[in-house]
Amino acid sequence: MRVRTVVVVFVALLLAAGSPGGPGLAQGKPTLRMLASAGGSGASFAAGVSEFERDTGIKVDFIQAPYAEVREKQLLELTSGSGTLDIVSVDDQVWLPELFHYLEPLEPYVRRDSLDLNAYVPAMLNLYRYTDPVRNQSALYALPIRVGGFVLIYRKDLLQQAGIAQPPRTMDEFLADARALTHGGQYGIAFALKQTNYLTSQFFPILRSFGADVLDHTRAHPAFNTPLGREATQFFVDLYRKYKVIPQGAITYEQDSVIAAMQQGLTAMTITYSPYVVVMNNPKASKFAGQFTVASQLPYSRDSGLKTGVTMINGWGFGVSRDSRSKDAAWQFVKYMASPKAQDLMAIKYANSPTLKEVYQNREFQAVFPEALPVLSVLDHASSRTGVVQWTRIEDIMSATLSAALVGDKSVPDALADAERQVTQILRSAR
Amino acid sequence: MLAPAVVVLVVVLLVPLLFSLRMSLFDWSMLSPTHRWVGLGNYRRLLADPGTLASLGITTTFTAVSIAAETVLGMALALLLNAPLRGLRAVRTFVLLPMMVAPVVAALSWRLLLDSDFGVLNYLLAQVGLPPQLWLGRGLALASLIAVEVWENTPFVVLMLLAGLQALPQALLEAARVDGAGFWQQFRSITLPLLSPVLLVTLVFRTMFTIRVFDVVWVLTGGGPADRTLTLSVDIYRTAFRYADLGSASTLSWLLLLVTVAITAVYLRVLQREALA
Repeated sequence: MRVRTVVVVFVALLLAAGSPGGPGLAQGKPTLRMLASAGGSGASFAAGVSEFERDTGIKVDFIQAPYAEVREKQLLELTSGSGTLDIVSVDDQVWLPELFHYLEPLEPYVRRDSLDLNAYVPAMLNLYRYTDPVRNQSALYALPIRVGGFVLIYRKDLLQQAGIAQPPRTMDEFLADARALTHGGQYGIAFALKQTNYLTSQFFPILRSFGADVLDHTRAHPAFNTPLGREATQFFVDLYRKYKVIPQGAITYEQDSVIAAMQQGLTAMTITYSPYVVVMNNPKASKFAGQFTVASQLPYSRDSGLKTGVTMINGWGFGVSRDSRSKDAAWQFVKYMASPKAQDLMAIKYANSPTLKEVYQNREFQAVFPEALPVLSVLDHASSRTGVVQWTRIEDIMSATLSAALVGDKSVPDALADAERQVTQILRSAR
Repeated sequence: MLAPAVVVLVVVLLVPLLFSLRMSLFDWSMLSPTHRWVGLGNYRRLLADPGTLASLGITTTFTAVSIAAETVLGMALALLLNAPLRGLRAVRTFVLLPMMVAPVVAALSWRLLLDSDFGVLNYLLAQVGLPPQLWLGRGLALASLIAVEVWENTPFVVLMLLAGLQALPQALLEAARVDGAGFWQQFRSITLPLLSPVLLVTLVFRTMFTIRVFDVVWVLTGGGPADRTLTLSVDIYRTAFRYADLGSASTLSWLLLLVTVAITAVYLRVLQREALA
């Protein structure tokens, strides 16, 4: 009798906690389930989720967790094939190589609903396309929901005082301006040089604006230890070690320290995430609120053959789980979050970085984010991280490499040669 | 009667331990549905890897210096707090405060204090005309981490040793005093030998905790600059949760466990010898 009661209770619990879209139907509509990164992104997505629930009557079990936990839990759930997740958060090309097996290709849904993909900033949409290296098939696996990129933010007043008419357009000008702005305890540039993946995130736009890249087009070999790659790395290291246009304490800076250095007037320029300009211009936190603005392009190297700098963008997209039992409802949610209504709401009220071109033209958005158009202009010329499974490891190697060169443990050629050997080994071992 | 306890022990302790041992014998990635048996391959590869050996060296240095400093400082404070002075009750509570702060919170607070441009420490140096220091830079990062670790964990040593000191037979100390023994002589010949069992237990605990240090390193330096503060725990975290390589992470965990067991065995041997003496 006792055993039977236990079994009945167990089965009842199993059904109650059952898969979304199946037994979890409320009034005939499924309850969707997803994990999302907590913090600024989570807060803005939550607003979109509430709006979706109100408009459609479909409930979303929206679970926020720290970034690393989202990755780990999603992977565990998706690899188990349990179908407990309907919507999948995708950190663009960093996660796509490990997630695409478990995601629905979205083209059939896009065609069926005649969704206009041209409405999105092309570089942002491309973040969620992935080519399966085995089958050599490309597909769109998510729609872009929140994508930001690195832009050049500078103090208008300081450039004016130094007689600099416009923000630097080339790397030579960037260095010359930084030197002109470095005097009396003030520095030209703020970079976060602590050994984190943010260090590499700042470096990649510079590497690419010198015409170099991390991996070659086959994604099977490193490509940073080339003449242009060495030139870019030496330039980056020299800003700190040789020209000293970056505060020496920057070797311990993280993102928040860069913002503080700009807000406190310690530095005049930085290349960082576009939304930070709003924080820098916040009169409650900044001594120089209203003086920060965004250049409409990143500086580039004349040797690169480029006509403008190439920034790096990254951010969140949402995809539909291959094992979801409520794929249509999940697609409806993804489409909603990428729609003008949700994108407007999240951008205007929750500082979300929008992915639809029309939001950047929206007057209401421009009122809260006056730099909308220059930011769009920079993000139009964007690249992303390279989609390989080993990317996180490669990024950590690059971070340690740059750190070693910045503190003088290794010369730039030695550091890059060492990194090249490590990256080659990692890419080879995966084949 | 013993059965439930054994079941709990097996489920909570043995199963995860054996599971991680099993994983360490496989090429086990979270990204792959299949796992390849490699036997001791992970151990051979990682023990030959200069990065792992460097991490092991950093972890050993960190642990040895931290524990030495905590022991000396902890003993000095315990002796002071054991003295019959007025107002020591309040001081005892104050001394224990760092131990009560969550490690991540403590590390974040130290990050603000040690900031080279906006930190309190460099501000104070400037007030006395000294140049600012890169506390978490190339030369001082490991020393700063050790200082924070010592700040946070010396109270534990104080607590243990103070309890030991208060349990010492006062008659013996009294007799030594009557015989004209000075403080140092009493300490060397009576206090330290009698306190050694407590001291060794304290060292076992502190070694086991310090060798796994994570929070302070992750928050303050992230293992940098140039991997100069990359401890094994940080390496394990990166390998498991950034690279999804559970096979290698389990191997590193077992290596760390073996080092800890070896050190603990040495301590216990000494402890046993002291008990027999």
